[in-house]
Amino acid sequence: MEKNKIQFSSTDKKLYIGVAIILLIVILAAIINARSRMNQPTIGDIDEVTQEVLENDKNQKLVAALQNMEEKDRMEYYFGMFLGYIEEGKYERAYDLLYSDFKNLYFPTLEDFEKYIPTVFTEMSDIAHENIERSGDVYILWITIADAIHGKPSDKKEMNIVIQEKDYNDFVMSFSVI
Amino acid sequence: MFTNVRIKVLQFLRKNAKVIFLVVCIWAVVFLVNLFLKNYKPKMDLQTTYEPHTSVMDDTKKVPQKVSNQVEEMLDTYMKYVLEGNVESAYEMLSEECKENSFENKKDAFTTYILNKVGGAKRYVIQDYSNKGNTYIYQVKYTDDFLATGLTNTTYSFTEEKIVFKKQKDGTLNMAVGSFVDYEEIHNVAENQYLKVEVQAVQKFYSYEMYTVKMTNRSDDTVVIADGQEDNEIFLTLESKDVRSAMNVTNLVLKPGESTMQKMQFQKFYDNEDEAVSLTFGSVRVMEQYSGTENVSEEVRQAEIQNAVAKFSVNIPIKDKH
Repeated sequence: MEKNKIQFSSTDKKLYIGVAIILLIVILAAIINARSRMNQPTIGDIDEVTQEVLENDKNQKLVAALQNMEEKDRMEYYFGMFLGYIEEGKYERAYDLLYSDFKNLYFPTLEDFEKYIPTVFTEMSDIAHENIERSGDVYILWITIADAIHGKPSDKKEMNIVIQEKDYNDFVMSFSVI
Repeated sequence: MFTNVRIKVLQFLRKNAKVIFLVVCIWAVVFLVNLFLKNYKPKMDLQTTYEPHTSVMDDTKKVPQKVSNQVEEMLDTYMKYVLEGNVESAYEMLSEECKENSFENKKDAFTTYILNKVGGAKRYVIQDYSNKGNTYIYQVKYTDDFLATGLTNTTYSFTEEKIVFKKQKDGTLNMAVGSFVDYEEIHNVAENQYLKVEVQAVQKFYSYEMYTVKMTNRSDDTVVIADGQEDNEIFLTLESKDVRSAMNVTNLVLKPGESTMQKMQFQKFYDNEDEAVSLTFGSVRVMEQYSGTENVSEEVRQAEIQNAVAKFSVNIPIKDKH
């Protein structure tokens, strides 16, 4: 019985080599991509999900939201973030948002800041934004602050908030110590 | 049988070689682009209304990148000197024209200027204000470091000035403070038998022009150029026929044979394209008898004017010699 032999022409060879090279490139790219993904923790590996990953995810969503805001809204949001930390008792996080020279001047330690907080801020503050001005990359907010639960209208205090925005959700701030 | 299948597959591949190759290529491109886009996370720049190198007067005009870099470097160095109190080094950064026209080459005058303008400021903010040709006018605001104070026990305030940068032929920048922009020699003369007037030069500041004018009374009578008794005694005419009265000269009276030099200031913004064309003394009176304007009755003043030896106007062109 005569054995059937498959003859490869020169055109065939070029075609197969071409397809093979393209497939090789695609496979290599897919492997590199898969490897880089393997190095990141995934939501499925719940035990390995760190707080950092959740924070990063949250931060990315926040940055995306901030990118769609006007400057005035972003500044009010940043101040709201600071106030939120205070109202939640996360004083250290609020303290970390303060500009270093401001801290050195008025609150050298976290304890100093914690002692000051009850004199102005309450567990729920009522904030009215009166005005905003920009001086270069620094924004000045004029606000009035009152105790939303126990305060009387006459207890309203006027404050300035000063914010320097370096990037989306990357800012430092200070306020008029009253 | 297996061999037949192989042959059929091979025949199919041969028959559709080009189509297969094209399909594989398209699929590979789509796959790679998809992979790239999946991993591509563009960084969006911070969007703010602060654009320090975009002109306030015309937001379509931006300072070229190379110039804006030079401006930032120069201002950074200059302000470092000023805020450190190293006034001498700051003074040396100014152009020679600025030293002469803003401070009459006196360092003390510059020191006083800095004390008044900058005072105890700790921060500065720049903003391109207006550009004209190779001249870039920046507005610089001086403030306290209110990020450090939080505006505690103080209010938001600032001082400001125009700092002017002029690009030279060699690509360097000349820097001028005190709103000084330019200086030009003019030397245009108008004269008659009573009066000779020479407009010698103009100092151009951002919001006004200061003309140095020499006047000589050639008569034996009093020549009154300005005493507030007539309309339009001294004025500058612009190309648009708009006129600007002298801001700082209300009384200019020359005794017989007297020669005097006067700096006459007129409001005119440097970036206003409406250029000055002439300086006019609109109501010159040559008077045999002149008693002045203080404690002199209207009747006497009018009588003296009526008896004037001559009344004329003097028009000195400015632009054609520029």
